[in-house]
Amino acid sequence: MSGNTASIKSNTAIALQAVQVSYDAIVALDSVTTDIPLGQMTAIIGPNGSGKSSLLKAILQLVPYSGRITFAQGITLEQMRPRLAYVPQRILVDWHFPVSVQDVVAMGRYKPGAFFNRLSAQDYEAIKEALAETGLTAFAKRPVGALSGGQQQRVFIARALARKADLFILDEPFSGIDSASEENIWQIAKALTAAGKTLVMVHHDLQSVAQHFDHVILLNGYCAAAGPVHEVMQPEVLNAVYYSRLPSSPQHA
Amino acid sequence: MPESLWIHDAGLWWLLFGLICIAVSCGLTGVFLTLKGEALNGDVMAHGVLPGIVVAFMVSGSRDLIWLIPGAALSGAATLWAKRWLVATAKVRPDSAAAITLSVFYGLGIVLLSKVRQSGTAAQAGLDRFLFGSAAAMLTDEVWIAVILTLSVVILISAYYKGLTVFVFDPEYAAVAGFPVQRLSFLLTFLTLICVITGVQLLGVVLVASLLVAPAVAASAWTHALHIRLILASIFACMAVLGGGLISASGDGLPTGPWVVVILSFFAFIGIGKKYFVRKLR
Repeated sequence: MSGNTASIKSNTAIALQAVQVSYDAIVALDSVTTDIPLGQMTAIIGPNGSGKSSLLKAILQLVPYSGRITFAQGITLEQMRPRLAYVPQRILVDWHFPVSVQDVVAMGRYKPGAFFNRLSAQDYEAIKEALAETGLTAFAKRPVGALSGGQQQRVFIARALARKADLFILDEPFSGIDSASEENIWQIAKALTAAGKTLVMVHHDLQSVAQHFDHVILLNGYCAAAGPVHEVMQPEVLNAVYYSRLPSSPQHA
Repeated sequence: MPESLWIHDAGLWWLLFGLICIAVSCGLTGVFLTLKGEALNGDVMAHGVLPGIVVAFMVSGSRDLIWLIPGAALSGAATLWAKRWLVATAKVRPDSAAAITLSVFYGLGIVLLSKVRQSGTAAQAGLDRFLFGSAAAMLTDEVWIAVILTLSVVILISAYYKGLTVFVFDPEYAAVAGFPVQRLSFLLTFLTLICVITGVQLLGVVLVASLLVAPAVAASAWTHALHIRLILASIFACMAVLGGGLISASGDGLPTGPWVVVILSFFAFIGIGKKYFVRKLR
């Protein structure tokens, strides 16, 4: 598959073509075809059960899907992995796990497939920088279980930063955290896009979308709208999805 | 045995070394297994080895571990496979699937064992030790097998330490970062199976899982650092295995397994008590 003929526009980070996700023959997400722009912050929004997580997991090949997903310059996920940082939902892991903040951030530098896996001076430098950027330097030696929810989320952000990636994929990084952590994460996100990195985020809070994001994908079991933030965040577009009593299906597809 | 002699008994020292190897590999593997929330899988495989041991004896007519261990490994793996099949295909909940498979395979093992007893084969008495375990019945050749298998556990855990840690802590992240999660999951199962088949001669099929779980639970009370928890769990497991082995060897008809478990429960009880009081005092 690597020597493919995938054509991808030069300003696209992830190209989705007819991406469909089904669980036990129930379609969770129907035929999404859209481009996620390079060097921008993209929000994936939509009501509960609209397929936001399914789309994210399809991009990361964590669920089976049909269709085609291509990364910048026509490469596959396998080739993208070293330059990809993923921030899963915080609630998915056991925070009583016996590791320190620094241990978790260091996971961002582990090389898959290597035996005995010793970290280099360069790795430790990246870990130190990531801790500083997320304001966690003072907590480096603490067990992760002793942190607040917002601090734990910043540990995950720091682990992603330590990878020095080009593409960041985040699953609801703002759910259930304090405002100081929220502010810190927005600042980091801004700095990353300013440095030309691409961010893709599943996001819940519609209020903050227009203020922070460049590009929006609105899902409702299918792709209801996708484009620059000012085009999608229009009352008539949102109302059609959020206030329709019954989930509509894409008759035109 | 007179006191002046046993110090110079190379066979005894060799046996003690074998016991330490078994304890360390169970202590290390148990920490990862309990953190993954799969402690029950250890119990499933432990009960599942019994029919394999008896069938291997019936086929080979020998009670050498060289014959019994492959039988134990095959049926232990088959039991876990059956549990996973029930969960994946028949949509049985994991705890129910574990309860069903471990009792079915254990029951089958007991039925086969009673068949062997009725046939009155001379060597059959040796099989009873797999029910409650016996350190004293371990022969010098058997120690070799345990040492090789358990040292391979220690080497595999050191080689895959970081990968296992990421996989157990955050499997989704591990998959996206490109860690071989299928292989790591298989590795954890494989390590557990080795621990079970080497530990079963010492503790018996019913109790061997406690050597995986109890040291890890006891160690969890004292540290939030994974490497220290691994060391502590190994020490607790060693003390219990050596203590239980010596106590059972000192008297007639004292089984090793139950004594090891009594000592393990003591460590776990102290650890749980410490956790409880620390929480109360805060």
